[in-house]
Amino acid sequence: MTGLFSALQYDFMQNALLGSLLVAIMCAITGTFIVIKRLVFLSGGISHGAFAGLGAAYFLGINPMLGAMLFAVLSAVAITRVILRQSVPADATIGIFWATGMAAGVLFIYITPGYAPDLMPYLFGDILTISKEQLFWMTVFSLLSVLFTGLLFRQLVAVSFDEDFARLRGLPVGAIMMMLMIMNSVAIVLMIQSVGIILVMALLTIPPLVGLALAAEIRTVMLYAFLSAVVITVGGLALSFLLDLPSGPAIVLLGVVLLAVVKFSRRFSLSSNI
Amino acid sequence: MTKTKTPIVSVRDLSFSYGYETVLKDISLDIYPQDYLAIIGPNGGGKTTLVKIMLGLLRPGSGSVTWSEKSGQRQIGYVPQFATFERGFPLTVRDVVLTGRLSGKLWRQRISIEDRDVTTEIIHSLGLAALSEKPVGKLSGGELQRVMIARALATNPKILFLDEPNASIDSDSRFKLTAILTELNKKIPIVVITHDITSFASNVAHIACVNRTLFYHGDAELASESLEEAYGCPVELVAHGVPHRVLQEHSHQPHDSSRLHHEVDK
Repeated sequence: MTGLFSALQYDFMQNALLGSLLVAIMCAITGTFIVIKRLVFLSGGISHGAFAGLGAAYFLGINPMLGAMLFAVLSAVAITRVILRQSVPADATIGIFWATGMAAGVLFIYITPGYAPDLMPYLFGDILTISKEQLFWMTVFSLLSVLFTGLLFRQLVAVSFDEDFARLRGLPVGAIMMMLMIMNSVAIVLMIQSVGIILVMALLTIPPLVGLALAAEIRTVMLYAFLSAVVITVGGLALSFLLDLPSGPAIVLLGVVLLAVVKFSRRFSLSSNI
Repeated sequence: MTKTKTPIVSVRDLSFSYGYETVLKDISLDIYPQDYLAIIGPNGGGKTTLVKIMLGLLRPGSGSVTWSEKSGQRQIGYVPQFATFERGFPLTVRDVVLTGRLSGKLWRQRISIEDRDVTTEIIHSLGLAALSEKPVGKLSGGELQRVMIARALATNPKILFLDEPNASIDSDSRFKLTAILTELNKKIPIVVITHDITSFASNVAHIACVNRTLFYHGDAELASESLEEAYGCPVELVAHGVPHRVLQEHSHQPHDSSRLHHEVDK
């Protein structure tokens, strides 16, 4: 345990901790909307589709995260337009998008001349290698998403709850959905940094589900989601340090355990009340 | 109850299709102030689609929907058939009713004192006071139904549309619903989509029978031929004014022979 605290004097450990807090803010806000609006599969499509942008940027010799960001935002806009038209069943489209993104990403990286990079950090993340620059952008975006959600809270909730009714009230549902999806896709790409494309899904779903198990009011749900995200990211980090495990899987598996414990204890306490 | 001649909403020559499948064809319909209209017809006959077009949620393929007032469309109360939200959605009954007070603005939607007062009053009038802090996901079908009506009323509607309001509620809730709608109809017109006309028989003033096209639109005492034409099969008509359902005789399926075999095997 003392080893854990002495590790905190290292820069990379402090960065990883700050990164975890920022990831927790992003997944509490965007994750909660993604879960209650049933956008989990869509978010999976965006995060995996973003891999194509990442590979293309790698091939062109520009910052891979920039490529992923551009691609994620553009695909979020495209998919949202399809969904708003409601004519095409979206899940098959998302499935194709998902696979194509991964395939194109790997292909781009494969045909890039020179030494082939390790794909594992992109897929499963490595929060210990997070850079100051990434932390800066994560801070900026976390603040922006808090501000955006605060200003549009009622509208976002109304659209998430019942799109038809929101439309009937005259709300610009298309614009609100578009902004929500752009916010989600930016958050997804920034979170890929810490837990990777595959495991970002876990951070978007587990903390909000813990929140939903503990609270019935959306702001409180977000607060619990934030707290549980902090517990699992920091806890996962500590576990990976102490047991010499990769941080991404440690974070996710700790999250699943936390969710199971919360669900189980809720059921137990509810049934003992009756 | 005197009726003004100008309809609140006029539907003219309306057609709509999903892809190649024509769902609605050449529908014309008027709804007047104080009207109580039931839209009936078989499942998949286009009833919900017709209402969604009237509400402006779907765009008609051809034809028109005209509201008498410019602001008319903003003041439509709508109670959908299915709750489309996630079952565990983290909103209380009060929060949901409050969404009825939203305006069409993108920014700056503050909850005013008036919004709170109106919401509280509606919650009380529909007998939801005890449930107001309960999450909507934990309500029974009848309770949720009343919450959806409360939300619709919070918009201060000039007309109320209800899609299959009897579909998922018990008979006690049906009784309450009928009373609520009768009371509301003193002020605003009500449009009910239903395949179960019997529960509304005592209140409904007009019936529109829709199956792809409009087969009948007129007084509630309708001729059985037009109903048969719409449903494509003989339909039992129900006495007006008695809200009891008389079930038609069902031809029983012959007993399952595989089960007998199973018993023999043992």
